[in-house]
This record gives sequence, structure tokens and C-alpha cells, in this order.
Amino acid sequence: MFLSLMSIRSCWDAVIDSGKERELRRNKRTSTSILVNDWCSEASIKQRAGRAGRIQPGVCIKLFSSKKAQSMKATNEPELKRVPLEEVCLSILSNGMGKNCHEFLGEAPQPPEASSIQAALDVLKEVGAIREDYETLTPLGEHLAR
Amino acid sequence: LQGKKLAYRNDFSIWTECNFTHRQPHCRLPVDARLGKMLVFGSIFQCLDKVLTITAALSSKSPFELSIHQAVDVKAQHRVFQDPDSDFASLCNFVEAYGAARSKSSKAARLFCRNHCLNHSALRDISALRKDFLDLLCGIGFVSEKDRSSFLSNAWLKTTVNQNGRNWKIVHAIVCAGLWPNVAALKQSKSGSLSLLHNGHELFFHRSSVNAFKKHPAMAGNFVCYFERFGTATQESVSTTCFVNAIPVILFGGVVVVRHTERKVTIDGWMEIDMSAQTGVLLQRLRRQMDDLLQNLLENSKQSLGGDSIVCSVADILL
Repeated sequence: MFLSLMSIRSCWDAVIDSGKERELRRNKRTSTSILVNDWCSEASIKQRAGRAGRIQPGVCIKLFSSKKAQSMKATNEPELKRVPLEEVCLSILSNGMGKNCHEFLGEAPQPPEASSIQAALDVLKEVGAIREDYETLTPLGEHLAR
Repeated sequence: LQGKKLAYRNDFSIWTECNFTHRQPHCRLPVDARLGKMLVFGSIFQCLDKVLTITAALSSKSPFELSIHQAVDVKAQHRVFQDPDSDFASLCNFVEAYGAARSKSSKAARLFCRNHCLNHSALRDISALRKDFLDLLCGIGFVSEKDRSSFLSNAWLKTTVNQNGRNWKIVHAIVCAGLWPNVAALKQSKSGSLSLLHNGHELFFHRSSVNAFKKHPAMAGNFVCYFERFGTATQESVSTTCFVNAIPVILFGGVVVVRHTERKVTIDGWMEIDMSAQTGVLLQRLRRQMDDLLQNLLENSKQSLGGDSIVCSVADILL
């Protein structure tokens, strides 16, 4: 369960919100990306609660203390700025959305740091998924992108 | 293009949500590129079961739970399943023993974890991930539907994707392929303990690795693959390690240059291996053929992997 919320549908709606989310992070020790559980932001809590009571009465049960809710950050940074970008770069190159990942991601509303794009490209090159020019996929890269 | 840009911004949240509500086969699980490579090579070289376990274990949290009160006990408990030379093999042993307990009952599985001081939720995650990774490989045509359906049954270990399943040399070569450039050359230091050299940096085995405190390298080879690297500016340690010899490093590592007159092979410009030019060139040619094989598989995903001549010859060389 990524968003960790359940809607039970009978005569009224119930949302059970764990207040947690799973997120892709870079593990510094292993320089791989892993999924971790972490507290989510106030904005997502609000959005989850909004699932109840849309078409009929409903409740939202939050499985965390009000103290915790106060200490949550207001909003999340855009996903593109937080997560490792290997997969994003792979799909940019494999779908032919652009030749140059720097250029393509630079056009995003809030573009990620150039250094994190370069780090992702370096990992892909080390893995042997892209060629020396950082622009074309190797056969292995094509398989990984599928 | 505008539409695409917009879609991209929310890309992750969209597919995570769709993953939750209705799990469709094409909904992708995020797989790390290195582990993805391991999975692809694991199925090509027919040792998938072990590779599934290793990738699943590396992408979830560690199953080893250490509490301070019972530290001595825990070590003794863990040693039962420990492989003498490889942390990756140890991981497999733990997961397999857990799987055996789980196939009896979930109570037996919990008891097994408590008796051996292992983290139950981590092991449960690993089992689930193994299945997810298998589904992914099946989705991109590396595992046949027939083989997948035999997963966890008695026939699973006898399928084509597990033909080399018991062969740790091949499994470690695949690990090396995935973890490159996390490979270091062994050297005997003056104090008698082993230390490692990676691109001019000296690294040491962390005590959590089975290979820590070893005086002599294992028979398996003079190179070490490591998964974790951490430490201070003065001393860097590596953990989750195994030994490999020069051949997997050349076959699956970085850019290979054969220096004919010096009888040496250089990889990525810093790792030097003594080897006759003839062998070096032969290994280079095999590498190119493996690339061609991957290309062929792209164009013709129905092609069967069993008995491919390149796969067989690489497997023979690794042994």
C-alpha cells in the first residue's frame, strides 16, 4: 500500500489513514534507491481525508496523534526534486521524449538540480544502461526501461 | 509536449496511486537500475532463484535484528546459516530457511524469526518482493509463463531459469555484474589482515561482513564485490561482500582495454589484471556477443533462453 489509506464502502465512507507514505530514496551507503516508509505531509493528509464524504456521509480515522499532525511538514517538495532520477532518465531516453535529459528535465515547472540529473546519468552509465554519449540506451538499458 | 510535461510532474504519484487501487500487471514497481541489471542477467544465466532472493534482500531493510542485550546470542544464532565466504550466500540461506518455515505455517515462520533473532517483517517483505520481481521479469519476457506458475512449487528449482541455481560462482558473477563499480582488488597488508584497493582508495571489511578478520583470501578469487560502503574520511569500510575472480570482472565490469605488449588488461582505466592478451581478447569478444544477445532478445522477445550457445560458453568459463 503506497498511500496507506483504505476506503470502506457501505452506507457511509470511512478513510483509515496511517499518516505514512512510501517513498523512493537514495541510500547513501549503497548508492542504490530503496523504498522507505515515512510520515507524509499535511497536504496529503488533507487530500486523503477528502476521499470520505464525497458522495455520501463519511468519517476519516487518523492513526496518529494530533501532536504528530502538528509537526508534519506543510507540503511535500515536488517528487522530481526529491527522488533519485535513474528511472526518470531511463524512460525519457527510451520513450524518445528527448535526447538530452538535462534539457528535457530543465523544462519542468520546478526542475531538479543539475547535479542530481548528472548523478543519475552516471549511475546509468556505470550500470551499462546508456552509452558514453549519455544520450542513447544500450540493449540492457532498453530491457530495464520496459 | 505541454501535456507530457504536466504528466511528468505528477508521474510518480499517479502510478503509485494506480498501483494501490488496482494492481495491473503493467504497473511498474520501482526497481533500482543496478538490481534490475542483476535480475536480467540472473534470468539469462539461469540462476534466477538465488538472484531473486539477493535482489529482494538488498532492496528491503536488513533481516538481521540486533538487540544489545543478546548480542552474543544473536551472533551464534546467525552463524548457523552463515556462509563462510559470502554475505550474499548467507542472505540466501536465511531467506530459504525462513521460506521453509513459512511453508509449514505462519506461526512456524514467526517462531523461526524469534528463535534466530531475525526481523519478521523484513523477511516477509523479501518474500513478497521475490514474487514481484519474478512478475516483472515475466512481464518483459525473460521468464516464461510456465516457469512462473511453478514458483514456490517443487518444480520451480528444476526449471530452465534455475539450471545453474546451485552454482555460486555464476551467482556471484551476476552479483558482480550488478554491483560494478563496487569492486575492489584484494591486497595483503603488512599487519597480516586483508585490505582492499578501489581506484586508489584503501577500503576495509566492516566487522558485520563474514569476510572481516580474514587472514587469507578465499579460493574464489582476488576481487571483492561489495554492496555497502561507508565510513569516515580516514577509513572507509565495506560490508555485504563476496569474492570473485578476474573473469567476471572482465566479462561484466566496465570498459575493458587489452594492453597486448604488457600482457595486462585494464578495466575502466584503473583496475589492472595480469592476463595474456589472447585471453583478454577472447573475453572481450564474449562481452560483445552478450550485448548482441540482449539486442536479439529485444527484437525477438519470444526467443527461448535455454541452451543458447553464448550463455553456455560464458557459464563454462565462469566455472
